[in-house]
Amino acid sequence: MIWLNFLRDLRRTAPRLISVTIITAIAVLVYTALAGISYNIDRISWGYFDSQNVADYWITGVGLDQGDCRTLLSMPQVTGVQPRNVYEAQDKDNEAVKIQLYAVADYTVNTPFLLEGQLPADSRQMLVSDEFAREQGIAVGDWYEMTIPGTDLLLRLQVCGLVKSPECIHHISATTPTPDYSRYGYAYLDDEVLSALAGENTYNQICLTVQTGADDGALRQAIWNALGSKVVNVLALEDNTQVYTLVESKDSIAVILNVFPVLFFLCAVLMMVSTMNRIVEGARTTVGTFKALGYSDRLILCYYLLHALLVVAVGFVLGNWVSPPITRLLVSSFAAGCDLLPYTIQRDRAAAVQALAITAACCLGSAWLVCRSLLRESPAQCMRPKPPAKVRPVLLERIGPVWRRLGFNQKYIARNTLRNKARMFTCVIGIAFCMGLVLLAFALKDSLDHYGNSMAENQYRYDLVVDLDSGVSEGQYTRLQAEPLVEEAEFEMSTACWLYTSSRRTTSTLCVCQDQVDLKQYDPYAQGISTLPQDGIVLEEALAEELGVEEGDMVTLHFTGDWRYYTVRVAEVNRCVSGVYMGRGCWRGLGLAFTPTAAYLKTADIAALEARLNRYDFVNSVQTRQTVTAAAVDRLDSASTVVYILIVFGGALACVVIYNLGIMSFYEQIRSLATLMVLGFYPREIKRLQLSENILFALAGVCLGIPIGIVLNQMMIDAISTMPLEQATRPVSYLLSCGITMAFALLVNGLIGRKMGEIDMLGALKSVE
Amino acid sequence: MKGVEVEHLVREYHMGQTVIRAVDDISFSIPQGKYTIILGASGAGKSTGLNILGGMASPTSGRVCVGGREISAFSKKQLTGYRRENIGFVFQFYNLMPNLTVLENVELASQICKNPLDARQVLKMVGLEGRMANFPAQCSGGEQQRGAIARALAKNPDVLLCDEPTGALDYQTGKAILALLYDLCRKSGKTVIVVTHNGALAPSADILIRMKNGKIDSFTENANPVPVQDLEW
Repeated sequence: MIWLNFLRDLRRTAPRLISVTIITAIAVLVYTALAGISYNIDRISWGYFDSQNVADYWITGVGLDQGDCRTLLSMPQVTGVQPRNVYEAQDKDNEAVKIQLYAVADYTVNTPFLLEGQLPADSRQMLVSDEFAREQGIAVGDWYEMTIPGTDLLLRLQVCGLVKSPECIHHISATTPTPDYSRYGYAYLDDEVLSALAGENTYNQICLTVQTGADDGALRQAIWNALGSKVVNVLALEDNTQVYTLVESKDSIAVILNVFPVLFFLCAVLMMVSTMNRIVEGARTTVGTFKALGYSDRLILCYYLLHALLVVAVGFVLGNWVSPPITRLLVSSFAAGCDLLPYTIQRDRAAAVQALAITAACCLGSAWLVCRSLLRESPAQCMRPKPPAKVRPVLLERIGPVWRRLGFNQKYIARNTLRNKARMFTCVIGIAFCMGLVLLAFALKDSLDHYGNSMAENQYRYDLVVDLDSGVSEGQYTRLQAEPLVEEAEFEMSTACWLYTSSRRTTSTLCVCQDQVDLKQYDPYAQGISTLPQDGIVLEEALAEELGVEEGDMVTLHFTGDWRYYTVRVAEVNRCVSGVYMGRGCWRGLGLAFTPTAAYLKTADIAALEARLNRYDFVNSVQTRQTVTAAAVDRLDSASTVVYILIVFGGALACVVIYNLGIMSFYEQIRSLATLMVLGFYPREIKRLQLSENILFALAGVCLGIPIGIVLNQMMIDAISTMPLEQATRPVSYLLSCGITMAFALLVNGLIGRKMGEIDMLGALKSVE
Repeated sequence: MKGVEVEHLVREYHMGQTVIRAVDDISFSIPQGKYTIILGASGAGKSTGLNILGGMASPTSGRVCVGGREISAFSKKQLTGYRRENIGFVFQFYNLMPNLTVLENVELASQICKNPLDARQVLKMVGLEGRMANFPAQCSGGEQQRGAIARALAKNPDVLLCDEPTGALDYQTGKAILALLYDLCRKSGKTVIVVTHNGALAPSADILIRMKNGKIDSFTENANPVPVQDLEW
């Protein structure tokens, strides 16, 4: 019979149990869906890297040979070496179509994944990117003709296979900042094909695979010691955007992926604890009756733990069941623009187990604690209603002038609202937390948009960016300034550099700008013209932390191919810059030549100037500001998608939490409501008296939620080191979050108002008898 | 006629396929100002009948007139208005609002009526002048029931309905409460209907209705009622 009673109990408590089950499901959903992003992206990326033996390092250099390969292979941490030549070719008939050529002796490292056809049988065949082939209308068996700019070499090769390459997941170059296979593809061919160009057994790149956990610093030093001035650049897998972009974009919002589920769970825990507490506490007379009838404490404990177990089981199954489509949506958003092998989304079983453990611990734990304290009481104590709380006047009553001015209804509402402090705090904190969560999501979206807009509209103020030839002379580049269509011109030189302190070192990119920059700001949020310090460098905050330096400290710079070391002062540490920046005056002071790699131009006629610039032989490529910024802003899209999803679930959570709190209050006050009905209060009067409390709680929650949202947003911004985000919450975001929360509160009030009509006043008043 | 008139009142409850007749075709009339006791064992249908008289439940069939108005034909809204203006209800378990003082509980009822009595005066009348500022939790059971009676009276109703008003009280306190109701009826001329299973109270009634299995077992008009104070049980 006790279990029949259990089933009837479930029916009675259904609205409360269902709402807390939905809250649990949302928390589990957010936890497993977001954990699934990291899990699946790592699985997809590293699975691809491992199966195709992707390189750990790409050493670019001059005159590399087999001897260098043997030296590298003899290093203890190195497990594989692949020498190769990398050149950029162009379609014989359309010079706008470029192809990156990888001339290799074998396919042991960076093994292309063969989708169709076969590996080259001889030096007249090549493997082509399947995406490029589709865009160009090339099929296996076709012959394709290419030229290599700067040489008179014409290549005519037969396509023997279509491939995807693990090192070209995000296939971009200086001229194509976003993958565009209609203009830029890649191909693998036999190293003999380009031997005439590079020289017999001479290579411009060596790919290395190393042991897991190899020491990056020691390895770089060993490569440098072994190959000396032959090395131009050593690029690690983690720094290779073409390969690592998917993992990197996921890592860039790791804080969001890690912190949000915790916040959702905190909210769910608060609701679980409060709901189970109120359900079990509300059934104290039933517990007393069971005890009086002789049922064992263990059985009674099981009886109420089963309520909690149902919440856990249904909430977990529901959340876990809905999460894969959300994960799929988010992963596909991250993978947009990536050329991956067909992939499937799998559940992150570890995350599911963690979510289950957290849910079970919170829900069963809270039910257990409440039940234990009830079971400690004697049956007689349990069967009596809980003694009324010690009556004390509410705070407002002590403010005589205010209290006296209140009408009867207002006094009633004030007493009702302020007397039950546990209910008040649970409601206000629950609503404030949800409001904070929704505001946080909106504020993060605003910060991301602000960053994107700052890049697109503030940082980049030029009309055209010109990629200059590496050997450009002063005489050549100053011709750009003299161009009649150019209104303003700025030059920038980028070079790889080593940074040393007495105990640490790292590599980065040094940008030498003009002393005053306007057309391309180094800080996206800078206003007006920025002046670079004359007595040192501007250092990215993350780099400064890596090197352990602060403003005013000294660091030493070293450049590939230059035996000298230059000690400079850290004039500014800035979280918004990327890499190292130095003014031209300071650079000149080091006695170094300024050879710009890019020119930023302002013009009134972009198309005409673009056409004219293409005629200069020292101009490699020209891009408009829109092309560059679109690529930068695109990278923020995946983060935005995550935030949109969080806004939706934050809103859903807020709605269910407010419903849960409202319905709990309703059941607790059902006797008072019935009394008002018997006294002859009309439904609208009862609603005004009883539901005003919910509105007051919602208002207080909304007010408290604003600072919570702001503080959480600041914490997130500080924690996201990969993007220099700033607080940029728009008033409309505050209005939307407040509006959504209040709208939910009003909606829930409407629902509870309808429920009031269903109260059986006689039944409610008799319930205690 | 002023007072209460009941004709062929039936109230049925459906429990699945089974139909339970809680009130089975009862008819009676109570003139204005009479102290009436409805007596019966548990399940006799007395509380159901009282609830219908109080506008808290509707009859399945039959006619109920209170103060000359047929409340059995009232809509839900009209019934609320009827409870508001014409009826005072006293429960076994008081049902005072825990967050309001005794005075405020009385004002809660009086503020919604057209012709309420002064809350302080009513509390004085029931002997609670010293407890006005106390909350229900700070009062004894008897004091709480006096508060509930004051709340019902403050509305200045035509009929005062009391469902086992002494059920939760000890002998002395219960007797005092009943005496209060008896005096009120005598002094104010209001109709007071008390539901009880205590047969010892029967001599105090002007009209005694005995109920059994949903039917009226006997209807007695008592020309010489004994004051409650003089009864012992």
